[in-house]
Amino acid sequence: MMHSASRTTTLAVPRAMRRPRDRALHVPLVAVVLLASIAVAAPWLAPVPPNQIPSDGLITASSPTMAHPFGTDPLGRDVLSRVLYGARVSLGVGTLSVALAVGFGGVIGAVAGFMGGVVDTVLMRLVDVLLAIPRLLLLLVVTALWESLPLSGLIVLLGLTGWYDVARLVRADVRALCGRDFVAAARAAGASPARVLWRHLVPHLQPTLLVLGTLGLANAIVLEASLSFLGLGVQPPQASWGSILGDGYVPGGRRWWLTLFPGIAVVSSVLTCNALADALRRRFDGRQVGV
Amino acid sequence: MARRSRLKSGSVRLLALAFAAACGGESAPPDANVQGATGGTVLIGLIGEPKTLLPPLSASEHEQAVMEVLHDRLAEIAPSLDVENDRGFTPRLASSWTWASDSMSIRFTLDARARWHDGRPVTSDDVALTYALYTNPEVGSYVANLLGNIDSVTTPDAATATFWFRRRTPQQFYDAVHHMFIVPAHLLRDIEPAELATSPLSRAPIGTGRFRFVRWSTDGRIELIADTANFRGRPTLDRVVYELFQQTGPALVRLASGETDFVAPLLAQSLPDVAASSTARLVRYPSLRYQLLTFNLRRQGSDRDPHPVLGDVRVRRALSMAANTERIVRAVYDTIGRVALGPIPSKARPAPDSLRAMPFDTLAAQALLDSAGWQPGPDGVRRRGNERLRIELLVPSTSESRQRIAVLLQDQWRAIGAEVTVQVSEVEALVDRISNGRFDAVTNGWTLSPGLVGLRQVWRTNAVESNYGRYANATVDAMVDSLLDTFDAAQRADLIRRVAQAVVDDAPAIWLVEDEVLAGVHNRLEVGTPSPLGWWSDLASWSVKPGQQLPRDQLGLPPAR
Amino acid sequence: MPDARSTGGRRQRIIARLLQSLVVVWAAATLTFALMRLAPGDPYSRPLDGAGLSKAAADALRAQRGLDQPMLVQYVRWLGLLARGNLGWSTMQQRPVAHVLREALPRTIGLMSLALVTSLAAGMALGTWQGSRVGTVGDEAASTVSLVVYSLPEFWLGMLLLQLFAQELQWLPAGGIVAPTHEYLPFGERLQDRARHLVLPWLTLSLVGTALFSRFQRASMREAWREAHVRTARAKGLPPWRVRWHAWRTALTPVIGLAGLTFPSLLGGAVLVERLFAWPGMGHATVAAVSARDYDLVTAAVLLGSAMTVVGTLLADLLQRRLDPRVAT
Repeated sequence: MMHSASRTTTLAVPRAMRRPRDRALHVPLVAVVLLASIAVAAPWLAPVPPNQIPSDGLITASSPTMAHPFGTDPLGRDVLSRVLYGARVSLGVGTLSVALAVGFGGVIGAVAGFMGGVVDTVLMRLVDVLLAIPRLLLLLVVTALWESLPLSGLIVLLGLTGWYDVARLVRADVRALCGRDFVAAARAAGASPARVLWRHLVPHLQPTLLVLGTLGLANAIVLEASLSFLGLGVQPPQASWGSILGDGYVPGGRRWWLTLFPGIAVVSSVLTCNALADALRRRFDGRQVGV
Repeated sequence: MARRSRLKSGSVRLLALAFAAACGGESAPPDANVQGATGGTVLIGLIGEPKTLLPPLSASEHEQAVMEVLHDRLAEIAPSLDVENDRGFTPRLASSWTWASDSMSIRFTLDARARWHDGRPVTSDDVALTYALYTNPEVGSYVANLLGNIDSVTTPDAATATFWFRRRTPQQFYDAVHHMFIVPAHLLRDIEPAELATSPLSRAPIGTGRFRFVRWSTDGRIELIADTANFRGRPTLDRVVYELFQQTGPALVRLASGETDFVAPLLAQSLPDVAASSTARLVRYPSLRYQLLTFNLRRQGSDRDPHPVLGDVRVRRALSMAANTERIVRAVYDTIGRVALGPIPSKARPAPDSLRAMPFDTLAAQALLDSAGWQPGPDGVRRRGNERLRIELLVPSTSESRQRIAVLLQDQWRAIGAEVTVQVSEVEALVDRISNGRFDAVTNGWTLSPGLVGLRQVWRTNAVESNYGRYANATVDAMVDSLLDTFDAAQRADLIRRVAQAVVDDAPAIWLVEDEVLAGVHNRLEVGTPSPLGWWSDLASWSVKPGQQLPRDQLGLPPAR
Repeated sequence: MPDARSTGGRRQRIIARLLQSLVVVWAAATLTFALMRLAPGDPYSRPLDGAGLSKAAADALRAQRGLDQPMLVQYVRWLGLLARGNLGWSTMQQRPVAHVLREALPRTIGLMSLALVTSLAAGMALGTWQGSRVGTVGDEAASTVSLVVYSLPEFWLGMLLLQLFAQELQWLPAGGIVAPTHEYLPFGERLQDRARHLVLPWLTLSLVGTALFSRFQRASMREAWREAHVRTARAKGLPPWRVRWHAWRTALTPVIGLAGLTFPSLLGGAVLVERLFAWPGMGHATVAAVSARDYDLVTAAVLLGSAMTVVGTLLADLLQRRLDPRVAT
């Protein structure tokens, strides 16, 4: 439905700021790598096990102290450890679901753009139908259908509800590319459609997919946090940033450390992803980036 | 203007009175007829959105909080919740009653002064129609199966309604008067029972209560106003506005900022925040509610085979002994409520209380598991042959407290070699699972009615609807039946003790907490003695402390019609 | 590709688009219809704590609503009602769905469109301002701020604002749409009351929205600056404000497109924000309806939502085509 020319697509690409003080790519890249390493290194960085409930004394939320730099949650568990371990879940779920979404959406979009005609129309209408159902609603209904949702299920669910934009934009890209000479040449040389798709078009799609993936990761992190906040994400006692927020959220409450630290974690990850996406867009601007 | 100054002078007078009374060492009861002592607008934050305010259709507690204020019963139960015969009941719509000599019927004489809010007198037709509606399956009242002992209601004349019973039981009077709120026949007579929900009365009720309905705004507010012409006298307050919230959160914020005067129920975790507030205080209301972890005694999906792990009473006892419920209750419920010791809350257990609960003893628990054949495996989880000691705890996604309880139990049971997984599930899906027996253990709660008839619904063998764990004990069944039928108070007390002990010994559940209802109340409000019948039961006698009136308290009443 | 200007072809295409849109809306509603009924439980299932209806009574009520029929029969019945303009019965609120929507829709649309309009206006203004001084300190600062704000989850921002303004400072009411004693306020104060309740949810939504649109507008402006006709204008020596006006017009197109994409949320509302501020709108009602298995309400909400999405994208497309003739079909 969103027919758009490649140049002025709905999500237009900013051209490179060809000015001396370019914001380099490596700053957000380093930040992402740092986040990823923190997540991976959580077992070594965390002072105590994240699910450890005090065996004696009062089980209650307490404000930050030397022993617990981020305080404890209502079950007496160390918030710092939980945030570190939560990084693995939030970032892991985010990355994997986005990979799924980008992969799936990319395929659908490429096929639609390449084949054109009826296939294209049907696929794009399918996308419209799915877009018409609010994502949160869909997730709520489907989580109700599943009796127990393991982490893998959550990843699949988030992935399969996040591919629509990818499909649309990849399709637009492919259609633009199809008009180019090298494609005509390849076809004239007798290459099969699959080969043309794989060999010639996909490399050109990488920039788009990369940027979409990064943006999608930012979205996925927030979505996972929202779901866990609503109580529908990861199962207890597993920590994810959203579940720490949800666990501790007493409205009008004085327990600021339970909303501040996981909140900062979420915001900084999302910020990093967005900054990275920005930088990538600028970098790839030489090529056609339909995003 | 005149009203305001009248209120002000009135409150000064009251202050003087109160001062004098305080010096005198006894408190003067608020007199509704003292000029200027009435007034006030109370904003109540109601958690949950009522569907209807028509008594036969009403099903949830938050609906009760509005509906019961607008309507009356024939007679009111005593705060001690005594249900034997008519002991302690006070007249409401019925000014008096007489028992037939064979006790198979009771004649109620309606109060001649009683009027509906639209001015029409209350007649026995109203009582008859009320009974008909409550028991009509098309109306679908959940109270219907509590009225089974009533055979019929006849109306010898306009001021008399006679209830006829099937059997003589100690609770027959309670059955007749407590469950039903009388509705107006002259307005409902011509409506098809199935169409009741669509009738305007469903959302704009006419009742006999001391407050009358004004409006139900579409943005989630229900407003009630004092019924100044009520036969029992007008309430102290002028006006009550219920604000409807879906979650406690926004309501709590408004309580803290002083925009809402009363919020219930509050979660235990709000306790420190409200305690620290300068505008609100905490009030606890007793209740016959308790929370538990119900074990499934049957294999999942089967009606016959025992559960591989939980079917063995030794395993259940071991789990009970390894669960430090004291610690769990302190952690999750703070000081709200006490540890539950069995299926009958302590308030309903007669003194002296001799209930022997399972002690907290991890060593004994482990020994018991050893003797039941569950040996510790290499990874710390006990096994019996090829079977692992695995339990899945099912908790609803809507309850923070229950999720925490589950995590704490998981932690405690890991220490004795049980592998516990916590499964958070959406409520409907959860109910579906437990109704079909596809669970290991679930956190749920029960509110026992004053007559303890709930015992039959929950613990009776083959009581499919509420006995999720398929508990079956013929002795307990017999004892419960006798308990509900006996007229001998001593025998009843004895049976209660024995039933409680028998069920505790069978350990079909982990008894968690008898929680009270926690309410946050604005400091300027006087709410009277907390009653187990619900915080709304004495709404008519709430008042605003003199000299502490806010602008909204001085809105006054509209001119009388 | 077909020529964008041939009239006969255009009319054909518009009709084709409309038909396709109808199919999309129908398909979305049908999918929701099926999914809801596949989920365990129904409007008359027992509650978790408490006795609930007896099985006989629940079954009687189910039969009344036709829920004991096979799904296909229920579906045909629903279609029939829909054809007569009947959106169904809300089991959760015990009233016709149309009444529920009639009340909840304006509240959500009001809040969301206000937020959208202000985000758009503020975002475009900020983005334009930035676009004309790319690389300066002001631009860099504004970019960083908008990046941070854009990265904030809405519900977290809302929580912070609520805590700060409603609780700590007590400048604004803590949630709700009007004061409980709204009817007793004099007319002038009533408007003020509504406005005060609108501020926090509106602020939460517009802050993030402004950040989004400003980033877009800035990028768009940068790109438009380089467009052929803008360069031509500059070369021709036109006054700077005219050049900027050309660039701005060109930059408008993708931003309008983005605005069109936000239409579904106009209806769905920001669920978490509505919950946080107890705003009795569509998002709030729909989520509650899913939990309560209020089939008709959820299906009707999706029906309307998809209709709005379709309308939104159509409008955005038309507008884009009017603004920039180069946009091909």
